[in-house]
Amino acid sequence: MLLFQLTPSLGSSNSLYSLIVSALFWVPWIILIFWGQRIQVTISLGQVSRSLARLKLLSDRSKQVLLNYISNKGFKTDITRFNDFLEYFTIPPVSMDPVGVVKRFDHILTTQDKRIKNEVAQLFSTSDKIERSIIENMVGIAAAMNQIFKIIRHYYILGKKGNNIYLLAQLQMIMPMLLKQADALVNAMSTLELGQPLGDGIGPASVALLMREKEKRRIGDETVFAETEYKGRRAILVKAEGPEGNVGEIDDALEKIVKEIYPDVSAIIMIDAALKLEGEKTGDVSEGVGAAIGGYGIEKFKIEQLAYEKNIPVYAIIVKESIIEAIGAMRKEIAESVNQVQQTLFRIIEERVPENGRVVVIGVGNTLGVGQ
Amino acid sequence: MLGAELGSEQRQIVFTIEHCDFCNINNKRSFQKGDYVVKASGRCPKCGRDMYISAIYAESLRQQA
Ligand SMILES: [Zn+2]
Repeated sequence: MLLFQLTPSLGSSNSLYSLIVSALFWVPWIILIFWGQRIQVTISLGQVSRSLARLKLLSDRSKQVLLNYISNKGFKTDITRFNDFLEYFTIPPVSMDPVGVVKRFDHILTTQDKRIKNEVAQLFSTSDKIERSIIENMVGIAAAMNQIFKIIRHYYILGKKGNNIYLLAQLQMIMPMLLKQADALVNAMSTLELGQPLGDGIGPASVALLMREKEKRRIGDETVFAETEYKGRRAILVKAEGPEGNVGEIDDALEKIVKEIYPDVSAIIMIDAALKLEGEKTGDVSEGVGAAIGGYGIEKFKIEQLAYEKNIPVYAIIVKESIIEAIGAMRKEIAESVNQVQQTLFRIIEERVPENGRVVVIGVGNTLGVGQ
Repeated sequence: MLGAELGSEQRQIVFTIEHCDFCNINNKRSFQKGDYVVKASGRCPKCGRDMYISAIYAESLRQQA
């Protein structure tokens, strides 16, 4: 505006000069009025397409890492079948009539789990349990990357076709976060390859250290438990079976323990990694009540139901970490929280469990790189 | 090249901590394939008993430098 007011006095001696100066001001003005949105769409499209290309790169890389791992181990695999397998889908149950939806969901997910395990066993024949669990985890990442890429591409093309600035702006906004997580996911593959503990493994690690040198018993699929004592209280320690990359069947194991093996349980304590809020410190330990377990909510539901039926209080100890830290190699700050987790655990046991009472302690999470 | 580009933010070294319960000694060494938490590993330099792996964790290179 200032420029506009100044131009007449500047250009009074030279009309051509004044014309050029005012055109310099007016032409972009007009362009922006009429084509501003177009230009914005073009810029957004450019940015999103660059991010999309990177996402594609990451998705391809995740497949390549998996295939390299497999061929290095000397397994042969059918690439077409492998690519088909990445498109494998699961349809969640209808929730219009919510009665029994958890049971139906549970059934579908169990089927999915078995199917994936079978498929992995067929695609890559290995008898080594650790190797197989690593491949299963890697296939999970490759399938997730494939899915993320396809969904983002879908919205990108939709936005491009309709010149939809709002759709593109939304994509542009979530892209940096998404790329960071995708990056972390693909980086996590090297952690998996080496069998190193993940950030999510802090629950199993805390429990495993208490289980050491105790007699371990298997309970259900890929889950173990052991008994220990603390100041006259008996603690049943439960975790997924390691050092393979399992999460176990915590809910079923707990049900068996509480209903069949030890009907006198007076408390359940769950230890898990939990998402921190930005600004919170990684590795901070907090204590609360309720079932600390992630996933689709089926295990959580079953544990809550069981605790309610049996009138057993459920306590939770959580270790704060970001999603990127949870899926990557366990960081020092997280590993060092074990002491504080155990101190909190012992305090809860002493305060809330009567002497000669029994408590179930569950280490929730992926137990890759953590034995027992 | 690609690896360096993708992993630039999270470049890290993974360490294994061996621990002796009796002397409360920790021995930090770099991670080797096959290591896992609670696995028996190494001899205690003080009392000669078997040590076990008490932690495996990653430190970023920036932190190290
Ligand atoms: Zn010693």
